[in-house]
Amino acid sequence: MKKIALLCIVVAGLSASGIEFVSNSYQERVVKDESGKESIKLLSATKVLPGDTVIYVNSATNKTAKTIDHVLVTNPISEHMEYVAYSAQCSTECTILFSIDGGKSYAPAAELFVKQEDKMVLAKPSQYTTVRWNIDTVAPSSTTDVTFRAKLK
Amino acid sequence: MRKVVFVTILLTIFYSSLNAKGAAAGTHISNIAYIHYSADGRDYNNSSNTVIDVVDQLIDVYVSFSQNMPTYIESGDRDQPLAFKVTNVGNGADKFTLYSDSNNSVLTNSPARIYIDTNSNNILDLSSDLQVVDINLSADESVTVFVVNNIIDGDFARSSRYYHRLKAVSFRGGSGIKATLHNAKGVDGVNAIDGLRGGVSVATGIYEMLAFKIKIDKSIAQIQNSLGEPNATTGAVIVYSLEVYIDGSGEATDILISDQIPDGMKYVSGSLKLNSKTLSDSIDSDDGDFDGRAIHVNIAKITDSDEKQIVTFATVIQ
Repeated sequence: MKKIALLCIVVAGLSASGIEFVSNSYQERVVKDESGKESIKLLSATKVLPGDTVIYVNSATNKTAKTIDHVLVTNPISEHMEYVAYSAQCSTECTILFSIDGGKSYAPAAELFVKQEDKMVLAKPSQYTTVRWNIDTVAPSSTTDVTFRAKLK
Repeated sequence: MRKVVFVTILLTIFYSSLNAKGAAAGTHISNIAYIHYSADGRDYNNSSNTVIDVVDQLIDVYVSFSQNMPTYIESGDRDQPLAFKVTNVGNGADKFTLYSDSNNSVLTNSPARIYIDTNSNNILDLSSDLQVVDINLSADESVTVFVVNNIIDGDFARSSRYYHRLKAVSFRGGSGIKATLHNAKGVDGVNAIDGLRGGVSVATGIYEMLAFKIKIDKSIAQIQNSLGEPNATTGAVIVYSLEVYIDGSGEATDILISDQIPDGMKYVSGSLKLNSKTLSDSIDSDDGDFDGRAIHVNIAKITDSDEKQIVTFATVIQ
């Protein structure tokens, strides 16, 4: 049953032109091996607690034989979650923008301002509503991961 | 525009915020991302799969002694409360079993009783407050709980303190050890995980013996019948003496001494005295009066170093 469900998800994220787009969530956990040695591993999140940080990884895989330029990935921050400062990244060259108005407009973090007591101040990461990655290129048969961290309130 | 390269940063993440309520247990956190690009002259817009993370139940409770001073007691007092506040600081509804250290044999020889402040007035009311052994609290809910004891008769040292604890233990968790997992014990079957205090919290309440007590020793100073004999026969005059003093250390002010004349006795007019000084029977500027039933004497101040204040009055046996 689980395999069937997973297959359906992958098909849903695969566009007709050949970019497979899959999202996953992880958490870093301290894991002990048989000798008692501790190490930090990324484990699927599935269960979270207030205060936990979740790492979201969106993977775009170019299934075609051609390079695809200017791929835009957009991820709204879920309700109950709070964006963790400086956590948005991507595995290839890209530009990262943020929105504080639910995705109506985007700007780099250093250019996002909000009005506070008649003054314009830099928006706090906790005020971000959406993260956007503008990926320069996704080469044929390659995958670009875009990631960010969010903390459960 | 900033260009960045993906770098994996490993940070050690523990249950760093186990002492704070947040998203409610059982909440589904959904995440969907969207992709847009152009290929072969066409625009494509697609969404990812939906990632769903379920919020587990963080178990925690906090108990505090909610009085800003001890409960002052005297030997033999009954139903003496200590007020505590119990708060569910987890993120889901939970039941908490309440325990009290009730075997403080120095002070009490019966188990403490625990009551919820049903009407939230912070005052123990035995007729309306509910006696309990556990309480149900939703996330972030607080309730005032009274631990109630009867104080035994005894010769307790003045100003001595006695301690009683109240402990609350989570029904869903409550291992006492942080981050202990309780599979499917949370609301709606989610996992329950003990928080910072392990789902257990204890606070200590304080009783304190009053620093002093005003004592009144009443005695018969004199009996004399019409024949001049010390016999309590009809017509005999009895002079009572009330010695008023402080047992312990401290200072008392505005003390009112009252003593009712017993049936079969009649107050002798003009006989009321304080420290040998006669006080009028009427209500006036001096410190005493007789209202037809009882004598009353006001004493402005007594300290522990003062001589005993002596009130005397005479009655006649009828």
